[in-house]
Amino acid sequence: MFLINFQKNEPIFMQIIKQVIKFYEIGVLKEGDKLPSVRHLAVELGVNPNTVAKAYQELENLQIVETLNKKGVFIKKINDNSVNKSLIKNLEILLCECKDSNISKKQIIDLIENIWRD
Amino acid sequence: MIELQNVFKRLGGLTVLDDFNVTIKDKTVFGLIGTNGAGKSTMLRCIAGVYEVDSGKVTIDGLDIKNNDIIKKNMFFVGDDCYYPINSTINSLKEFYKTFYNFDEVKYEKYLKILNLDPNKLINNFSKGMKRQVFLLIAISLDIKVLILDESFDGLDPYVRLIFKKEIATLVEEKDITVIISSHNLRELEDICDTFAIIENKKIIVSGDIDFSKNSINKFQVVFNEDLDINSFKDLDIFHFNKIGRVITIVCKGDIEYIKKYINDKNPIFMEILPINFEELFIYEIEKRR
Repeated sequence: MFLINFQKNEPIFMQIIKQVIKFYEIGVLKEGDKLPSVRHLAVELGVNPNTVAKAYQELENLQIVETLNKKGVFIKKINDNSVNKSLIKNLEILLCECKDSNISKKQIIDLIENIWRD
Repeated sequence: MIELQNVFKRLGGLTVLDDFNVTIKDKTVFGLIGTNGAGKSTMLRCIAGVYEVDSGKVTIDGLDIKNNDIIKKNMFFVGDDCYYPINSTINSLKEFYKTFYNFDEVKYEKYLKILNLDPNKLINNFSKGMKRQVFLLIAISLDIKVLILDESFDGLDPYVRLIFKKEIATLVEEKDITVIISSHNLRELEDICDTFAIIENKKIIVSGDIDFSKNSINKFQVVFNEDLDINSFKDLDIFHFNKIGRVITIVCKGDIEYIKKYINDKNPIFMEILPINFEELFIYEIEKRR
């Protein structure tokens, strides 16, 4: 169901989170849909079960999914708030990477001005 | 919860397990790895009751496994060498095990078909890999609480491995079983195990959650203008240090932000942080102790 790019530097759990959100946005996943179980997704993707659990936990923190005991993990009714929270979190990680790579604050602010111009 | 406490085991005059302690929690897939001869099979056989420990305790949920028939009825051990009565077929072997265990015929028939094995042919004529499949087929058809697999996945083709991994995932999630797998092939364990332990020199040297342990060790690839060596990084908990030309690779344990800052304070012209995989975790932990 999901694809992991192991060559990318991006953490695997982050890739899973982003794909769940993307699939919801394009309507592949809808409210009430059941996600694969932690262990089955782990075997399918070839990643550690703890990594999948971490992704699902974060998705739950973002209020995108909910865990129904013994039944599984289901997509919640997503309000724009949750998706936005995730987008902002991604941006934060990216900005930290830019800072670590010595990209100047001015460069970033110029970029923001450009995008928000219209 | 399975516990080995202060276990000593000697085999043929050699101490194989030396004041050995390990805890395996319920509803987990526990990966046991170690160098050759480290004591993996011995530990598993002590849990299965195949060996009796010389001293110390082996308990499940607090109860000693010694002569405990109820525990034995809920546990199945698949060794790395497969023993079976002479002239066994898969069906006759199934009947044999049915006398000891509760058996799921429906699941057995389902996987017999998927694995494309002939239940009436002599097991003796099967290849080594097929023999392993037979025992795994029996194992997943049993109604048990603890499944011990001693290198049972090694030697299976990828298609069959995937089939068994999926079924094990289902068994852990739906039937709350505990699975202990030993293997040399760490890449194979990574997607099925959530907890692990490394045996080295008759003891457990590292254990815990696979994900947590991997994340606590990171690989830093750095380039400096000056000529630095390992002494400049004395304060870090270093597992591996490598310098080729001006590119230094440091593998160390600790809080990633602290280490980033520590390295940044030395003004690198380039720094990249890479995660390590399970195999690397094993190699670095062993390397550190040798």
